[in-house]
Amino acid sequence: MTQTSESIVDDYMRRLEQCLAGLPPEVAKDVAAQVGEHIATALSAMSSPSESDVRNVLEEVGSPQSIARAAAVEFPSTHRVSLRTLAFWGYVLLFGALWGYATFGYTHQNLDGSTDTGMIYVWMVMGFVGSTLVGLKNRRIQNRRMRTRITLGDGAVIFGSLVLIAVLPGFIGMVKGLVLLALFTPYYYKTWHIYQAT
Amino acid sequence: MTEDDQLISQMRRGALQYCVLALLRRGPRYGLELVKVLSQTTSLTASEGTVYPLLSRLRLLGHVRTEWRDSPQGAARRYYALTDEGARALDSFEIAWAGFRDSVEGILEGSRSNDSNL
Repeated sequence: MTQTSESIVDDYMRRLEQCLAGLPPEVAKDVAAQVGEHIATALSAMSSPSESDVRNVLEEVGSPQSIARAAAVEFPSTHRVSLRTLAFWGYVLLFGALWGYATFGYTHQNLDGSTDTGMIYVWMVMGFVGSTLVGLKNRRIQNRRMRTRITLGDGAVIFGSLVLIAVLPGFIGMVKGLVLLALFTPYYYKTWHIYQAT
Repeated sequence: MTEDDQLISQMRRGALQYCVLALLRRGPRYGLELVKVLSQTTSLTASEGTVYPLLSRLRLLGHVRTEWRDSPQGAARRYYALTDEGARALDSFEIAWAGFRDSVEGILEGSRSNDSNL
């Protein structure tokens, strides 16, 4: 098998492992092992599988998400709130708070010229609830290595956002908000499949 | 997904479990072989890989056991075999299924013909 073919299979298996992260570790391991053997057996039947052979085999096996969804149906979670919902609302509230704070600050000019600073409490409550949900979400990731990595990733993005808010000059709130979105969107895009099945 | 789709996917899932057991009745098969037969002869599976979570659960349930055997190609393969408990579950499904199929088909056929007394 060529190097590219091997790395295609490795990528697939890594993604499968990530998609199965919300399931009990022994289930995730068992399912991933069987799928891995299936792919290996299918490829070993070919004398020299090309890249497109490998892709065809993986296509017939199905997407990692579809396998993880099937696993979540066979081994239903006992939690009332899905991991997907927790991740979505956790991130929306936490990053909504950071984004809102960066973009609008917390002072509001009243019509009579005085200022209110009440918005700080809105951002604080949103941030608090959001980070609680993000923490609960991470506790639900049952693969320990992945839980550590995601927790560190979440922490790095939050810390990075706070540093950016502090470092970027105050008069360009809109730009700050956009920079935060540019930081957060790729992170969410890279990790969202972890939460989809469970 | 509509309620109809959900019901149909539940029925499919329920039947698939026993089709897996039935395919193992005549002897153990390895994963790829089992899954290929299943996806070629039935429309019960979405993709090949989605059968493995079911196999995991059947094994935890004690209806299926796995064993490693050498293959002609050299590498050992995981074979799936029916346990006694699995065989009993399959037998009782077969009886229930025959009754189920006959009743549903009787109703469906009667509903289409005019001279039915349904």
